[in-house]
Amino acid sequence: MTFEQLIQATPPEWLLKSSDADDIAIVTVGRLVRNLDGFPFPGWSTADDRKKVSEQVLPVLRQLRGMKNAFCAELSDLSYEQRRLLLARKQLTPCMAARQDGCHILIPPRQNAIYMVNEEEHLVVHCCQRGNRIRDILNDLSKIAATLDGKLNFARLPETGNLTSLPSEAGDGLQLYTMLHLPALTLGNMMSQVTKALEKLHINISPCYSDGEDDTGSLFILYTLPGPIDSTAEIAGHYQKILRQLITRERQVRQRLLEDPELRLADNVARAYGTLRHARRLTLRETRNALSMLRLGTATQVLEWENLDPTDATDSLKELDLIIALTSAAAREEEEPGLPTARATLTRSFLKAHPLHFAPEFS
Amino acid sequence: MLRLQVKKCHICGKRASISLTQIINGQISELALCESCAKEKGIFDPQTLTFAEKFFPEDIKAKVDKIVRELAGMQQGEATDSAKDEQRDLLVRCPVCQFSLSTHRKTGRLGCPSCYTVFARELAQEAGVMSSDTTDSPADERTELERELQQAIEREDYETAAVLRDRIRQLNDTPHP
Ligand SMILES: [Zn+2]
Ligand SMILES: [Zn+2]
Repeated sequence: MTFEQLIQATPPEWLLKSSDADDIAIVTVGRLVRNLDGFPFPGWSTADDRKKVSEQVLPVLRQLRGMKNAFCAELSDLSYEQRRLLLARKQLTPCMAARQDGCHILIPPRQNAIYMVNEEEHLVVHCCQRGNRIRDILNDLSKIAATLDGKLNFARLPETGNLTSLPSEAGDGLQLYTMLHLPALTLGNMMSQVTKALEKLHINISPCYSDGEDDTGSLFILYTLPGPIDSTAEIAGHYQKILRQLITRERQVRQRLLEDPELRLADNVARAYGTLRHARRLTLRETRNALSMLRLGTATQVLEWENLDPTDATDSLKELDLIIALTSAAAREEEEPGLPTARATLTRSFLKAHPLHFAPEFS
Repeated sequence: MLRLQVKKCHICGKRASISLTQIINGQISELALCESCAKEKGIFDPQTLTFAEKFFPEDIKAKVDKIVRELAGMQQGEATDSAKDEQRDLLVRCPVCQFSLSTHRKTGRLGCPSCYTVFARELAQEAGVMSSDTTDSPADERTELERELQQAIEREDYETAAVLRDRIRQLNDTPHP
């Protein structure tokens, strides 16, 4: 599979489809890491070491189930434009995007997993699922781990577990990440409260973009820290529970905002709708924030679709979001000439094709 | 560590598209850069990390200094006296990958799987200190927290740094034995 074939193929379900009509949990990624015995970790190795690691790992990966016709590339053969596209599709990590010789990425045709050789550890596998399908991810990852275990000599100590470049992360070699859309908790200024509550639980939440000024698009990442050996099931159970609670909380706050006589939610949604429907130039930040409010508005039925079923609409908005991310990624600069107008044209024509009207009580 | 977050470029503050997790001069564990800055600094091949010597020390040192100034009343003792370590019978360098104990103390990382065995005593000490907060005297705990804080700052892990700073402040508020 070539890079063009990968990009032109129908994007995988986890990238394109939502799990619920309100799409709060967007995508979950499980990250499995392993290192080979006898080689320096990628952050401390030379290109030569990395090549030796790749020579051992790649043939084994190629033999895995579903790897026929996989996309496989050495990072030094990918242009920055190609890397940016993969980053926008969450099929490359920022760490991997900086790598070159001896560092490889493999993506099977189903695109349900991403294999990175010489990322921060010798082997990093990401399994992706839409929503919060954690059990599916853990199943996929444990199958992959079991298959690889017999074929590669992984670095391990009996009490410590899998050895990683950061000793504080040695153990089960597994982390879970979920991208969450939490506009109501953000609007209600409740995110710092949430962060504090999670701090003690081995589970963290951070804004998706560390821009600092405001929480772009109300997107957050909930994640676990790598746990000690044999802790996966316990941590995952915990994580699943917290994830469900967060989703419930977001829904409750949405309901409360909806009943607010000061109409803050309706006002934010209406302004965002106006921007997306009529603006002639849009920055990426503006687009993200307005789309976030539009998603909130349709999920809470402040805005109603005229010709779309709500679930299809959520998927369509997700697709629009992806198209905008890819359009921006394909450009050399975030504000390359033509890009702000292209974004505005995309959102205007989307809303022209899929008209919305305000619910009677908000019109 | 949060690995999927989109960070800001350390040089210009724009959205970064690459992030280096690399030990450079035993100093840094993570560096996020936007594409234009990366290219400008000649980091087309991050494996040849000569750029770091040119711009990194001042750039990050300024930030680290700022944070350190904020941590009023704190003193950092440089505990990386390798002669002292040798007296204490500690191996200071991994024979397999040449990674040094002092680099571990600065970055929190290790060089290869064998480092776990070579630096076993140090790692056990670190783990011991972390899990036995209650048995340590506040003074020992403070020293350890200060070391962890320094490491967190060097890793640019400001979230952890903030938590550690709060814990040190709490300790400072409690009366000394
Ligand atoms: Zn920059
Ligand atoms: Zn070593």
